[in-house]
Amino acid sequence: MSFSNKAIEALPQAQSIPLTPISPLHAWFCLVMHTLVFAVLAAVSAFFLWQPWFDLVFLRDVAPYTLGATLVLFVLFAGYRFVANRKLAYGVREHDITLRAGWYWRSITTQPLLRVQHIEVERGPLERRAGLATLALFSAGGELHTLSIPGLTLARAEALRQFVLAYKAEQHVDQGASDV
Amino acid sequence: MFETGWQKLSPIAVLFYVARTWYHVLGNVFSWLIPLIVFRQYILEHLLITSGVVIGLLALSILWAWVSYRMVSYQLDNNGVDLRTGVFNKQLLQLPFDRVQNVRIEHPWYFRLTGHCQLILESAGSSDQEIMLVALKPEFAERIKAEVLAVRTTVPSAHNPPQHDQQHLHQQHQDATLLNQRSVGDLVMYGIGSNRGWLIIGGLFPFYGYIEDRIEPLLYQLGIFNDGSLPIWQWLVTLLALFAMLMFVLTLFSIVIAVISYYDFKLYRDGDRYLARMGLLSRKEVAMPISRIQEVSVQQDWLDMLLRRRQLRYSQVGGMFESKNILVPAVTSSESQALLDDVYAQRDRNIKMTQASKWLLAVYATWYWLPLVALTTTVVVLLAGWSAGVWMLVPAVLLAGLYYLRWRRWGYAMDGEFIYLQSGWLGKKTTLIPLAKLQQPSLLQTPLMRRRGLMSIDWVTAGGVHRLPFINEAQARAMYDFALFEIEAKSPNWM
Repeated sequence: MSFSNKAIEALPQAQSIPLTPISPLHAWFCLVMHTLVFAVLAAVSAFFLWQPWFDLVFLRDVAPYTLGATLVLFVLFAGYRFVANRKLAYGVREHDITLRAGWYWRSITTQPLLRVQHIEVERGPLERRAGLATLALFSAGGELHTLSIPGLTLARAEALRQFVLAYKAEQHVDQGASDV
Repeated sequence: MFETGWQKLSPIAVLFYVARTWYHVLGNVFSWLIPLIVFRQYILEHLLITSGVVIGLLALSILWAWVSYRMVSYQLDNNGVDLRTGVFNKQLLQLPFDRVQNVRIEHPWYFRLTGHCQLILESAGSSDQEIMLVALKPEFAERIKAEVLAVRTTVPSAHNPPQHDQQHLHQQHQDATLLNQRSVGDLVMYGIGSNRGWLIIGGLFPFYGYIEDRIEPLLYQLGIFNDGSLPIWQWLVTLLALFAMLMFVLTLFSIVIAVISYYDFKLYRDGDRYLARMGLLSRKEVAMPISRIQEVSVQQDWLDMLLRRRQLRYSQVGGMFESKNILVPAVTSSESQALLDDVYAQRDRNIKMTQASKWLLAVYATWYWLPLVALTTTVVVLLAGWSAGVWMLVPAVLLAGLYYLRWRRWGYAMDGEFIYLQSGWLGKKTTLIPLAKLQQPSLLQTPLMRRRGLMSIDWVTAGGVHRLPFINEAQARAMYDFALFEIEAKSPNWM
């Protein structure tokens, strides 16, 4: 690799950004949502296992396996997400916002504010009750790569939103960004 | 500059709406072909009713086209265009010129006789944010296009920075230099190299039963399904011949598609834009400001390697949709170098790629190859017994070979301006991504990777996401920090 960068010591390093953990409540909220979704899936299998009205032998025979698979997947998926969600932490620098995520599959993602096209503070029903909010930073990288920071206090989310808006207002030369 | 108030399109536009309806019907081939086959007996027996229904449907489609045409009106001023459409669902689309990403003028075959054309204005958003004005006089279309380009460059709006050079705007294509053109011979090579005929096999899937009924007697005649009276070599030769015949037909088909869609392909450079024109039945024109190009890739499938040709692709914002990109088919090595020199002159021609870590091969083996082989072998053994299961060794070994080749192909490099990526299975694809186009970087690591000092980077641009898997952790962190620094300190434009 011919990449050389003599002044590397002087560059700001993402590794050393101080990170703040998000609210531990977020992991519990996600657990509740996952439980609901998997409960519906399990209910479908359970229905075919015990329903007395129709003569669906094949579905009845298959149902125990799908029910078992649903439960195993639930434990693996929701369990992993619960642990991983508790690891979520974010850091704010002058020019970017960084999110650390994951427990086994760890990731660090940095969104340069210059590339933010649109910003939203979102609140689900559970978040509203707990006074929490999610900050979503949209870039031209597409929906899949929206940087979402959940489990912020509403005041913190609003303050971050203002910070990003102020940054954007300063950068007159910005490109493509419009509907901030 | 333009007439004020709501304008109607020329009545010639009805042709467009008729053509659109028929294309739509033909495109949804499976929705009518299956009923057609199912009821073929009835249809053939009642030809009078059938022809009545066909004529009725044709008349209905023309009536629908007329009504659709009547409902369209547009309004132009120097800042943008408004378009009203819809018969049942009325729509008003407003598109300011400074939001326009791409201007295209097309000359479809149904306007050939009258010499009209259609103008397509694409915005940064989704495809329903696209405005299409049909049956325009070419001079009028060119005028709108000039206006759009003028607004885009003179108004330093938030959407479009004043990146274009004022001068080139008012000079139309006269100044455009021809960068590349493709002959029919080149297109034939493209058709062979990127055989899209395979798609037909998938498309025919619902009819396999029907086809089998027809072909089986033929195969019996040829002696394919005989009782063993034919020697095995003869059986194999016949089978190979049939396969070769099938491939031949598919390749012919692929060549025809390639020639129709890329006929008389010409790539121009007009100031700081690329312009591509192509197509036999309908001429398509794609204009792409160079600053909006997110990445350029050079791709060679295995047949391309034998033919020594490659496809060069300029991808722009939303590059996952092929219609937004410009593909230069079947170029030679030197032509591809010349095109790269034009777009990315600063690139390092002889950059040395770093290979992916051998642990990536281990990941391929344990996460992809092993589960796939274990699953298929289990199924085969359960269904057909151990003697059949042994044969699964052959595809397993072949697959292992493929994964090995894929791992060998991996390569990456970075200098102060670009990321260079190389990937592929049998073929080879090299991608150049300017650092300045970065939207968002991610670093990924598992504890196992950490122990080995490895990391992956996800590199998100407006054209898509690229992963650099299993690279040296220190290098990954340095690339990450350096790219962020470049973006944040220099605020480079990405479009």
